[in-house]
Amino acid sequence: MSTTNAEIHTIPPIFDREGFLLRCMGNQALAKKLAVVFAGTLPKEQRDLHSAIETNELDQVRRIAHRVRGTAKNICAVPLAEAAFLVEHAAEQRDVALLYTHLESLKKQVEAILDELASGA
Amino acid sequence: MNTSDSSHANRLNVLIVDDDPIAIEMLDYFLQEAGYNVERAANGKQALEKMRTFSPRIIISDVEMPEMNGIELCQTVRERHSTQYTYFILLTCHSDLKSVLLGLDSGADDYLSKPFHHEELRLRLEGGRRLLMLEGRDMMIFSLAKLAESRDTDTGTHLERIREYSKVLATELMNWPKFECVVDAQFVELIYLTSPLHDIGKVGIPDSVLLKPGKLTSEEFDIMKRHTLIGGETLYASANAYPEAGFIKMALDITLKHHERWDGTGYPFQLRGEQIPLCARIVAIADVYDALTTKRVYKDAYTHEEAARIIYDSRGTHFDPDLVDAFANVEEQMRAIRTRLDDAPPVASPTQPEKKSQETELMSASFTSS
Ligand SMILES: [Fe+2]
Repeated sequence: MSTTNAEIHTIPPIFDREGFLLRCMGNQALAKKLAVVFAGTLPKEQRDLHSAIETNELDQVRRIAHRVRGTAKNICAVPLAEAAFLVEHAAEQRDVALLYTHLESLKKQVEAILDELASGA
Repeated sequence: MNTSDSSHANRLNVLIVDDDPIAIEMLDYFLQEAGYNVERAANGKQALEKMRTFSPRIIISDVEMPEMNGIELCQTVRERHSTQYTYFILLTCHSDLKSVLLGLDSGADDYLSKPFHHEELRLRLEGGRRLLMLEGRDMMIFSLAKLAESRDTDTGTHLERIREYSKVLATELMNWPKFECVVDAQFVELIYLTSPLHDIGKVGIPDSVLLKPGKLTSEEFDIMKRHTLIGGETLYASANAYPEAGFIKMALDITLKHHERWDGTGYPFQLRGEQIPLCARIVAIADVYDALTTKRVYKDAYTHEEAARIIYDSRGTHFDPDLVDAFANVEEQMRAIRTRLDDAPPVASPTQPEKKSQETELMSASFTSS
């Protein structure tokens, strides 16, 4: 995947720009377009996630987290994908306490990737 | 969708279904680069909506989606029995073996792990393309056979039954030590594919003979017999033009030799015994069984029991004794095919309008059905 040049033990970067560009077959314009789409969808996913939690729709929480995980993997944002996975898993287990813990770290990852994307634009 | 490149002659329609905006953008880009016509949908329901106006040959779908998921979409597509096959690729998460199995079980052809790699996507699509091309070939062959048969008015689903009978008989032989080295899964597939061509030479038989309602005179019968040679000649030319196409060789053997008889009294070459290729010996028995159990303008249909008895009585004369024994082993399957693919009301009782001698009946059956 995106770890072409990285050592196995290194912490994956918030956003693996190089890996992502490779996934886009080196097409800068496509990479940029996708990054913009991605940055545009994340805040809404966050909002939907929170309203689903407020209404206790754990299945909806799981679905949104699952989608965020997929999107994050596609864009080579591994830490975000991992955080989304934990939320997805907690929702699946219907473990609300755990869900809140993981939501917190998901939120941090979302902020981090948005910052990263903004800085590199 | 707009496409940038017009150099691809065969643009296949591909429908991508995913609620992940990045995945869908990427897929769209890669597919258009690879020369496909692309449409998108965000879930299964939207995909079905789209399919009212867009007919995809390939669907690439995510599994987990709101409204209707990828598995349900796949099931719905399969239940529709549309005229052309849709190749279905599921996009699944690496971790999700369960959905892979569920997906394949619901009729998906292949799956691709997310996040997909464009090279892998390309290869999977190639696989789909190959399968769709094969389907195209098979359909062309069957259409050709149907076209040739269309001049004959009362044959109904004869070709559909012939290939089923041939397949059942060949499959039975697969288990016989004697045929172990000859009949394998590919043989079975090929005979299913090519047996409907057995009578394509009928296109060259004049209407006055082919469509004559009553019995043929011996001169007319001689003309009728030529359908084996006419079909054989056509396929012989194809076999020379495409020597690598193995199915043409089998089609040629069947077309030319399905009226030969085990005892050497058939036509056109009076071959005997194993001089007659196995595929032609199989189709011979399938063809006669079908002719006997089918109603014609001048005769009622025999019941299965009657037809089977005639076949048993022709063991070693008309038919290869091994094949008659094989027929005995699969008799119930033959009967089931006859019932399932019936194109006339079932025979109520075994009464025949006029009881001809068995030999006359067999002769007439085997050349009027030819
Ligand atoms: Fe024939």
